[in-house]
Amino acid sequence: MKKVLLFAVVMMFSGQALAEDFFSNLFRFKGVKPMTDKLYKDSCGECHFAYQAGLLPKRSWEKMMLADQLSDHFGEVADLEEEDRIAIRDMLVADAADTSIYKRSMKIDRSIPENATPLRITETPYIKKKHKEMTDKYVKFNPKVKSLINCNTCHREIEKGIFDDDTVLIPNFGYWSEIE
Amino acid sequence: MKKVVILGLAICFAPALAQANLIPEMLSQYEAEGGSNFDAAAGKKMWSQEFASEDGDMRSCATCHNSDVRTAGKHKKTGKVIAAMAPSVPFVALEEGDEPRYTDVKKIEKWFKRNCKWTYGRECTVQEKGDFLMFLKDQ
Amino acid sequence: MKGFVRLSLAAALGLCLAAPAMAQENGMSLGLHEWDSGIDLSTSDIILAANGAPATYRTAVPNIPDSAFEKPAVTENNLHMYLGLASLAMGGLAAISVPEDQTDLLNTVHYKAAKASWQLGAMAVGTGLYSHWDDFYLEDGILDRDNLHALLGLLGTLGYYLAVQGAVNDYNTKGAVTTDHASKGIFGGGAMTIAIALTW
Repeated sequence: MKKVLLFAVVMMFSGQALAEDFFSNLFRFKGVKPMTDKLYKDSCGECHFAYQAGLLPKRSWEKMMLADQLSDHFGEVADLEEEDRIAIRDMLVADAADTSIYKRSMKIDRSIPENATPLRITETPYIKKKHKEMTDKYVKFNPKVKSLINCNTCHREIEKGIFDDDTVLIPNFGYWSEIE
Repeated sequence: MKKVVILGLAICFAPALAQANLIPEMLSQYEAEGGSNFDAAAGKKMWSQEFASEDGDMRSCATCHNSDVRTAGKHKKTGKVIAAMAPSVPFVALEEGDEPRYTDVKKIEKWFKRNCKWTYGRECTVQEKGDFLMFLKDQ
Repeated sequence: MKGFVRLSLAAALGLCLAAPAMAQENGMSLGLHEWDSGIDLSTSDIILAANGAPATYRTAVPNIPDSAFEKPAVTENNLHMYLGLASLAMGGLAAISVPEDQTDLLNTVHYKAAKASWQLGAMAVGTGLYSHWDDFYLEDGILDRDNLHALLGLLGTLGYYLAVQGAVNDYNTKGAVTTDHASKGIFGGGAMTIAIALTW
């Protein structure tokens, strides 16, 4: 009896959040595929938000993850151990936007001209279009945001791959759904 | 019953206990690789010494880490807060998944490589890395 | 005694689970406080002054801590979602509640559910167009998930509406309702299901 009770208590605490996540994301392919890999988060997330693979097409990730590209990663040195570099590149390529069934990934990929290989997510046409209303006062001059590259400062459910506008809370301004 | 409770509490607070600091192991490793007589003063000097980058700006460790290693630094470009380098500063996780400094060999080497290349335009020698750790060890 | 032990065990467990989270929150606010009072605010002042931007919004700004995000319970987005799901549910209810005899048709669950399904569908279409207007770009083509969602949602609602109208016409002209209107209702339900699945 005691064991059953203990088990129930443990399940209640740890299970609740898990179950909620599970059901709210069941068959949900609206955003981009979440990325939970520890190697990826440790290697890339130390400096910037660990952008999901579904935010750029395969060709972009292949180019970005070349060894000499990483040595000049937008002006920063982002060298990785060779085995980690290969592992991360494969991970990114596997879930890239052009093979994804997630809606935002498909929209991003469809917006990029075939002959273009963008390295900056913020320069893909879909992302640009969706952030038209994000004027300098919300981003550039907002000391807590500074740049669109800091996705996670406003997109509060980004870890789940959700980018819906009712999950946007702009620091110093408030919920986007209330500002709009 | 009491024992169970104590055990449970021990398990649940175990992760909060400090993990071992790997600096001594790293130093003997660097010694085995050819370094010798690691010198804290040399490390300290190198810490604030400025080098001109290709872009023309002056760079040193202190650019991002602060010259006082007991304070938190700030990334030159992104502005991201960088936890203090001194082992004496208590560890505070700024983000989920943060781990205390000097607990992961791979991470130490990764950042030596990246930051030496950024600051000096080349990788650091074993001797230099040893000097740095010698300097940081007692801060 | 036994009860007490259990209670304290549960409390200890709760504490156990909450402690790391609390510690983290403290850490977070510590870090953020530093961030606030540091260089950033002053540089923002300089930037603002230099650009001649009105400083008014800085004072009118609600100061929401970063950790305080809670998805609002009612938003345009989820209102739209619930209306669409309700419309689909009412369509399903109408499909399984076909009356056996035709007395007092206007008071059957079948008729009421069918009527509700097209009305809820129409509201879903309206709220969708209103809150997601910026997601439609004709140049993306009909295969774009959002465009297809909008089109099928509209067709679904139309199917529901025509099914109800067909049945009412039957009744008014022939005095009895045939099963002819069912196909429109089933079409509506199918379109609605696919529409919802596309952007779920």
